[in-house]
Amino acid sequence: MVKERLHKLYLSRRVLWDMTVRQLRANYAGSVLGLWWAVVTPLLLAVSINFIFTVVFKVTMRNYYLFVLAGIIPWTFFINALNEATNSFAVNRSILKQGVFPREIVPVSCVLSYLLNFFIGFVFLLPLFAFANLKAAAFIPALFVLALLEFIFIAGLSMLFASLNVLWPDLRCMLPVLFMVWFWITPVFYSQEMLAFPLRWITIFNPVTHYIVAYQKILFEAKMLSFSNLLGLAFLSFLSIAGGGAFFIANEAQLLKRI
Amino acid sequence: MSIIKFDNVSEKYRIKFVRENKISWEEIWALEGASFEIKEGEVFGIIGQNGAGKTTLLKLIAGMIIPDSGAISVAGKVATLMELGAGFNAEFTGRENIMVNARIYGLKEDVFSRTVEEIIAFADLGKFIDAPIKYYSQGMYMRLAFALAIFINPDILLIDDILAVGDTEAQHKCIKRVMELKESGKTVVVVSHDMDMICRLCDRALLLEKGKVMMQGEPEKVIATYLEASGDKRGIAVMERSGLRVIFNNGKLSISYNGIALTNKQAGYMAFLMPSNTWNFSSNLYWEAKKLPENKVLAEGKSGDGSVSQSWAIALEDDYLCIEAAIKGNFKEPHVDLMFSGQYDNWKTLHEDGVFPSFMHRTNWQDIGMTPSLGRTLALTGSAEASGLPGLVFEVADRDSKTKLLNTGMEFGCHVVQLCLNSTNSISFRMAVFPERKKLEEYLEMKRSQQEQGFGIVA
Repeated sequence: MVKERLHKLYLSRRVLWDMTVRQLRANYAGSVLGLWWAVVTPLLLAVSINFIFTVVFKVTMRNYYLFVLAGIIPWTFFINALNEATNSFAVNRSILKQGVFPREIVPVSCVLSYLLNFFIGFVFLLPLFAFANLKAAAFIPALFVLALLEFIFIAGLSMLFASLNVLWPDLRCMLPVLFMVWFWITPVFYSQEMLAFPLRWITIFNPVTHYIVAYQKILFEAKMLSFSNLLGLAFLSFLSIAGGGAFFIANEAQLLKRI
Repeated sequence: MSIIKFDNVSEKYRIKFVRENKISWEEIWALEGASFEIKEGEVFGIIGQNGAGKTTLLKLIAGMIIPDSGAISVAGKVATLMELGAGFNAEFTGRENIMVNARIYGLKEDVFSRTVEEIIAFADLGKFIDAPIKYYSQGMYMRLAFALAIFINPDILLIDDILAVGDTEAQHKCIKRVMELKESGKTVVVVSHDMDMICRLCDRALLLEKGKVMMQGEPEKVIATYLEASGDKRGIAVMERSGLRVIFNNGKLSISYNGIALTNKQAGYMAFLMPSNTWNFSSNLYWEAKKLPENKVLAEGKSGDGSVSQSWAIALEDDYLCIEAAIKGNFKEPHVDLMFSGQYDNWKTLHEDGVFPSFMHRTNWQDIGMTPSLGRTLALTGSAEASGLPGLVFEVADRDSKTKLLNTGMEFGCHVVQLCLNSTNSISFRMAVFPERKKLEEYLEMKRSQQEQGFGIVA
């Protein structure tokens, strides 16, 4: 059954690509800066966080803005993709009714479009990291692997959230709060070491932490990820895609009736 | 070979009811234990009342929804022509929708852009092809959906009552295309409320009632079953005796003999001219039909404002049917029209006979000009005896009522026996059935000699 679905997904790869491109275009349709927003948004976020924490709260980390930037780029990828994908079944209602293609394409194409978005942002922001520490540039291949793992992780969650959003309308009201809390418990603007242990468990149990920390390690500390590190992330990604996929398949019939 | 197969398929919906601020959930079976097969190359009709589960069935074939239980197998590429919204995104332009859908239908890469251009050319929407389809008229939307459905070259085409929305030209284009698809061996499944269309297009039909498959088979028979059961149940009465079956359904009388429909789908009814100079029909009254013992039915009908009331008494004997009908109230020119199948093309009175001329007009009726004074005994026979169509003999009891024979237009294709009511606004007639032509001739001969001896008519 899984094999059959994967085969169908493969056959519909053009649909996936078309929907991804259209989604990417739709995100910036009509805006003057267009794709440049992929660069501007994380920069603005990093600048404002930098201002709050170095000027107002007097954090004394060297190159703090780079640290924040290293975490905020994968975080915005995560949160924007998930947010968009959550609504994707409702937005693409008409296409779902067409029936002849694998419907998981809908949330996955959303996530894929944000992956492209993420890469576009990176192309322009990477020089910043390389300027601070030239070694970071050497780990670009590792970054790709990491981005791919994060993509798989988000894709799994996106299927879960998109399905839940249809089946359980309360989710829509809960999301803004959920996403905000999620942001605070992810070490984007603080490092995990700043937290003492009972509290630190919160961040450890938050799966997104491990992806963000990996990005920070490569970009900010300019260190290579260890093999066990990668293996752990791969395991998380697999867990997410298997769980999200299973939830979606189990509820697909119910979902189509509710849309 | 069957291309679509349903095996005990059920589909239920959970529906939220809000009554006086109380919310309750109820499970509604849209389809219950449906089993049927559609063969490759068939044009298959699905009929039933609103809410019978027709659209759910099409959606299941298309794979838009997944059944709660049972198995469906569909062997081939399915294209759908359904209501606005299915498969099209209102915010996208016509061109974008075509691109997305063409991709979803799995159009081959090498012909993709050419086919998209062909679809756009066929839809013929001019500059509107680049406008979001929310600005389209129903007709424009239909042209687009239709063009797409044709050019993606489906094995199975599903049509959901969409034929009803277009103008005559669009409808005609649709029907023409369905015929072409049928000729090229494609399978077509049609949902429609237009029984004439189902009858003309389909090889087989299926009747759904409250989610259950009630009947499947020849379209004529399925439609007849559907029509006799549709309508207010209080106004329906069915009688059957030695092959003769009479159905009174809310002011319409249909007659069949050994499963062959004698009356056309328009059936028999009473027409009368209202003071406003428009024709009204017995089928527009509110009816209550009571079944009495010994195969008798008494039906009473009233118009909504109570200004007109009718009563029909129908008695069924072994080989004939007696009808007494009366009308009261404010009206003019009441008469009974019995619409018989076009196969009854010979008529005969005691002293004259003739053939119904071929249909002249598309919609207009045509009086075939039979001498009215001789109309009290009248026989109708079909030209082809082998078809099992029995001969019919009408005898009108009232001396001052006139009988006329008419042709309807081509569209209905009926031969009509029109019986005008007498001066007291009632009529009493009987219709005898003669499966054998010889018996009918003998009967007419007997009547003739009776008349010559000066006997009256026994009604």
